[in-house]
Amino acid sequence: MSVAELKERHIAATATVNSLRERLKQRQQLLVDTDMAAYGRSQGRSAISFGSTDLVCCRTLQGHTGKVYSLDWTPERNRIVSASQDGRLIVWNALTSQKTHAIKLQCPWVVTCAFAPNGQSVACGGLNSACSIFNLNSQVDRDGNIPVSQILTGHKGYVYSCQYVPDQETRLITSSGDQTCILWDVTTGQRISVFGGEFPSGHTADVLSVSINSSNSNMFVSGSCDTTARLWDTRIASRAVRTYHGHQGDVNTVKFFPDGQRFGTGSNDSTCRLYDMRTGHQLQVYSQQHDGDDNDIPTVTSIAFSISGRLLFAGYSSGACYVWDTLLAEVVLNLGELQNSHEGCISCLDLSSDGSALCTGSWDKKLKIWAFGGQRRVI
Amino acid sequence: MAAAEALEEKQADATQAPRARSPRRYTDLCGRHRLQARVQLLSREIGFLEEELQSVEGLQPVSVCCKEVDKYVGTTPDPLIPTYKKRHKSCCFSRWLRAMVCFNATCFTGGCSSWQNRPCCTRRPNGSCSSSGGYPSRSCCSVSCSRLRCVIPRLSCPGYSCGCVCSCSNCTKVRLCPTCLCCISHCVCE
Repeated sequence: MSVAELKERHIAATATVNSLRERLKQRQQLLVDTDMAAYGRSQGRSAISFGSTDLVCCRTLQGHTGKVYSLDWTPERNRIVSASQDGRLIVWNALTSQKTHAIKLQCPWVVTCAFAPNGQSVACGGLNSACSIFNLNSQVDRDGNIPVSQILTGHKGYVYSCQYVPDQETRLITSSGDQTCILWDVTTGQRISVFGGEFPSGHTADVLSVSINSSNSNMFVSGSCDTTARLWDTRIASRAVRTYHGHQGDVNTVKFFPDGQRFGTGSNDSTCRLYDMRTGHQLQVYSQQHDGDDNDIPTVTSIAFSISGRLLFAGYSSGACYVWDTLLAEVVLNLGELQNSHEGCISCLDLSSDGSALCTGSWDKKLKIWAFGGQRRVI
Repeated sequence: MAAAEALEEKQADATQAPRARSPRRYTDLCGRHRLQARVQLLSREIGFLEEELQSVEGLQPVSVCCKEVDKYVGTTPDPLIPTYKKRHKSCCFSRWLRAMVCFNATCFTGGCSSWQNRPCCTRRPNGSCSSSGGYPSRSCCSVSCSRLRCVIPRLSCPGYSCGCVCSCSNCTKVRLCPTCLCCISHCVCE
């Protein structure tokens, strides 16, 4: 086939794709008969009301000498690992605020970290396009550093996000600036599957975040600079199960809803959204008016749901940390305005496995732990 | 004359730029392959979109999804949300008793929750500490405390045996009980 004929086919195929997308969008629109907030109001729900001391900062973890970029809790024992611009991973005892490990990294440009399910290893990734694994029980070397136990190489772009598959110490998923996600065997260092890339249809820009479904660890969702989130089945790398449109900017963060059937996203367009995994419906947009001109619109950097899903915690580049009532789409608290709050951009946040505490990390070099400080009153 | 003219022509030819004999054929193999790959990708995408269009017919509306979310949220307890529970009369006495020694005693539906059975520190008039509930006083804060109160430990502590905290004399923040497995023996100043 000649180049001219190929060009004609390309134009025709592009027009067909756009037309089909438009038809799909219209058909989906017919099913949008409400949203979460309207439904909640129709059920007589009233917004969660927090007293001034209900959620308090009960710990400040100090020790990093650079911006905190990422954090992760252990499933048990209340430890946290954090990654910072200072080129270190620190493992903290969340109860005592003590540091149990400080790992100086060979490549200081680290942007993501994760705890293994058994709490014995940590993973990190960054601008070296690789993911490094450290066993916390290893003997330290002459310089007092924990040696790296495995390096996962294969990405052709920065590693922006990593997460261990729940209950599987040897499986890890990373997302990258090369537009792909990879499922790794940590023991052998081999790639098991590559999701996306030029030939298998996938993201068309950097993939910034992943979240694995804890109810079904074969499914994970990814968020990208192409403004979409995509759902993947680890058993089928050839194509995304579903693509979720709606955001107008980079999707910086994705997190599954606790029931495993929905997930939330946060974006550069300053909104968070709740999507239904199976149907693709956008159930709610969480959007707040911000002061200042259009150039100063804060981006959503990180999100987490409370254990019931009633609360959506969202960290913003402005330093705000809004607590959204997910059922009514109202901001019920701003942790950024409480006593002892952070003094800079909230870059990461996550909930402990028992849902009793939230940890936030910030460009102010600190991590803070927030928990319920109020009383459960008697009616 | 004719020879001179022919010579002039040759010289004129020699001074002109040489013309290509035929147009050169440039085959952009790399670009063609890339274009072909893009067309294949688009064909694949068309297939996926047609499948998705068919599947939309059987999808449930947004309201059904919202109902599922509402139900899940409503039936899942959440430690970060202030909850309001109905008082049970049977709790009243024990609640009153604990209120004598503890601030902010609470009672949960179905009976007093387990945290109330944990030792609760009291301060005797002579300044020493004692614990309630039949627990040995060593389980309570034994150092000089400026203020004693009972609180629910903020973070899960699998081995904790004491619900006591006290304020440091040197510090405005709370100090955790030194006998608690997950507590430390110095001020936790933030």
